[in-house]
Amino acid sequence: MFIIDVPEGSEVVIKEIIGGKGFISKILSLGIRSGDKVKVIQNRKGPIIIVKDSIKIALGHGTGKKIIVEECNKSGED
Amino acid sequence: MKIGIIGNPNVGKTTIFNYLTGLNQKVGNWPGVTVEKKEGVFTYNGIEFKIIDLPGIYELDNSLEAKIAIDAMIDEVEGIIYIGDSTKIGRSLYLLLHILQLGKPVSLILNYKDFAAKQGIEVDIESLSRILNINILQINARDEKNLEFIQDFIYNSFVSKTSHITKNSVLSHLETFVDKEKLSKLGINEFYSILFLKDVVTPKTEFIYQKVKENINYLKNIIEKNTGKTSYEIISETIYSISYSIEKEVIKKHIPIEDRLAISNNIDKVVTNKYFGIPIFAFIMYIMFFLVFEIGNPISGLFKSFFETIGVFIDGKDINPVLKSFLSSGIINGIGSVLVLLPNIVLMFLFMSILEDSGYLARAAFVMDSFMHRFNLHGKSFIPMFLGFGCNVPAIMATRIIESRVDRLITILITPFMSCSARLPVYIMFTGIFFKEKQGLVVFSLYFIGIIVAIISANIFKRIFKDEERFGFIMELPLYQIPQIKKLILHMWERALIYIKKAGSIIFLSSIIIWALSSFPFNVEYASEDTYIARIGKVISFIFIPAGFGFWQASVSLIFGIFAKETVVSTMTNFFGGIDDVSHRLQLYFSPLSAYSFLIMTLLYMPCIATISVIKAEAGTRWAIFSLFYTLFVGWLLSTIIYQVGKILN
Repeated sequence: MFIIDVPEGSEVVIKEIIGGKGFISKILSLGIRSGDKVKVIQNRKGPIIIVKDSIKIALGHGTGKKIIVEECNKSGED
Repeated sequence: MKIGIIGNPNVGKTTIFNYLTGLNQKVGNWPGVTVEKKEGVFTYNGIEFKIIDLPGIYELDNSLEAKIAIDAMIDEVEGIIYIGDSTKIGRSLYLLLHILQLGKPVSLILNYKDFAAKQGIEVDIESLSRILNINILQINARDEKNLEFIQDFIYNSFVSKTSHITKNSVLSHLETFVDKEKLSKLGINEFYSILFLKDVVTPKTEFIYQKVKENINYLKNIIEKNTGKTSYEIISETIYSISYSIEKEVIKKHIPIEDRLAISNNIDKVVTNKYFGIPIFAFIMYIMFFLVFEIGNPISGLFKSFFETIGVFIDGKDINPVLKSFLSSGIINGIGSVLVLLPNIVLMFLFMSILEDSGYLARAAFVMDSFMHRFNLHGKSFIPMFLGFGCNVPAIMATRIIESRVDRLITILITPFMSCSARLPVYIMFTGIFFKEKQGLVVFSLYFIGIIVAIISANIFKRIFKDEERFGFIMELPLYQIPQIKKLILHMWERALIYIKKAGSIIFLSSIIIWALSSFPFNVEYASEDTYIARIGKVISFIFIPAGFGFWQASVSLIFGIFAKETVVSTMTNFFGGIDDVSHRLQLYFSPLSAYSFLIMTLLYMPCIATISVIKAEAGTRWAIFSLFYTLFVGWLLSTIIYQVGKILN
């Protein structure tokens, strides 16, 4: 599923980041890559806000379908 | 001793730089580019430290900022202070690990000790220092008491016991899929190998690159064949893995993630809310706009009366009339009309930096993204465009928040179409004469046309300028903070100096030219029919015949308007018999239709000198010239179309 389909408040694991080098490098250098667990705290089917640890990132329009995620079982740890 | 400060954006680099250097700083540009360069000096224990504030970046890539940082680190500095974020150790290490490979002395200052404590993140500084083999100081830079620690730390790191040169090899982690021997045979510093394998080549590394190009390409091919990924991805992921495994080792988290960002998340729930987000943003912008003019205008008024007093003083003096005219019409009117805007400009910057430093600006861009997207624009373009209604000059400076160079350039080029407050007097004068009943509606239509032209232009530019890659924006939402007064004041001071310097150079020069053209030959009246400027006006006025105002007074008014758009009003008044007679005489020359066409021209044609010079500073001479001609063409085209269509309809 794409990150744009994730309901607000759920935690997911990033499976794959698709898109060009610019996109991948930008998101990687901000501290997000596949395998990371992130929480979607806002999803307006356009812009999205995700949180990983202390890193909070806004994804603009058109990026929601470039990140493939899968659900994760909610555990207490992070 | 020359030291470079580097780190990610929002890690408090500027705060630390300001503390160290105070007012002893110099703001300029890096040679050949328009990225700002800040240098400063401080002395400690008799040693003079020259500090260079390098651009805030997330990684060493092909961006202009990163290339500047790379070349400065290679060539300019003797040591590097890396500023990291205690709450984001992994990400801070990502850039640091690459920089360490350079082999220059590096020390680490971990900022946001207080935030880390609040978020229950404990960093084991000793272990981290051991793993990286560098000196580390963990501080809270917002606390001024830390200043001495920082100076002492820098002194100790770079002078008394020169910090170790570390090279925990990054590339050795690649051994599983890279020919190890080939790698070592490259014979270059690992810093360069990593750059080249990531396809990053800068002016200062080009020479080395040419020597090892073949070997690098060979290695890249192997990596790509063995992994199915680009060598860029592999290198980045490797550094990323090391960074986060070190983070795991040195960090203890005492508070679960849910609670850590609770305050920030709660604020965000409100300000980025689906329904309230845009109204809140509009309200904040309105307040800012209101204050910039409400506080700024009285101060501007003082400036204005100051210049007027000087003008009166000069008029009263018994001096050579040429000199008198030069001083009062040329210098005082010219420089004065620009300097009176200083209070507004400085205030605009004050509020901009409050919005930025508090962390709100990033949210504003997020909120506006969907809306702007409908017009093929970037969420971050909204802020400068909005500011453009006040004054185009700070608006164009505000485009710095846009990272994508193409989007930034486009925003710079369309901002002059946002009708700034200087154009309003022209609208008021003409609508008062020609559209008495529908004055408000006509003025509104002009603002609206400006926005439409901006949107259409943006779409045209988007097609023409090939973006390296088009993707929606990704930006970090920094934690909310209360802006520091000291930093704000320094910033205002800096901006004021830059603005005054500009008024003293380019604007001064153009004032003299315009004055000379409207004064000579000197036996005729200032700005009258026989002056050179009128002759020029007569030469070019035929261009405006299709637009309905092909007489020299209109052309000359427009020429003067380039100086400052308000000048159109005073010039027109001068030409058409002064304040008593102008409304009557104007109607002999203009019909309501050609008046409207003239207003369209005033709205769209050529940005004023101050705006052009700021475009030159931000985007380069080429784009300043382009903007000049593009706006002139669009203005002419649209006013002609409106005049011609209007004539047919009537």
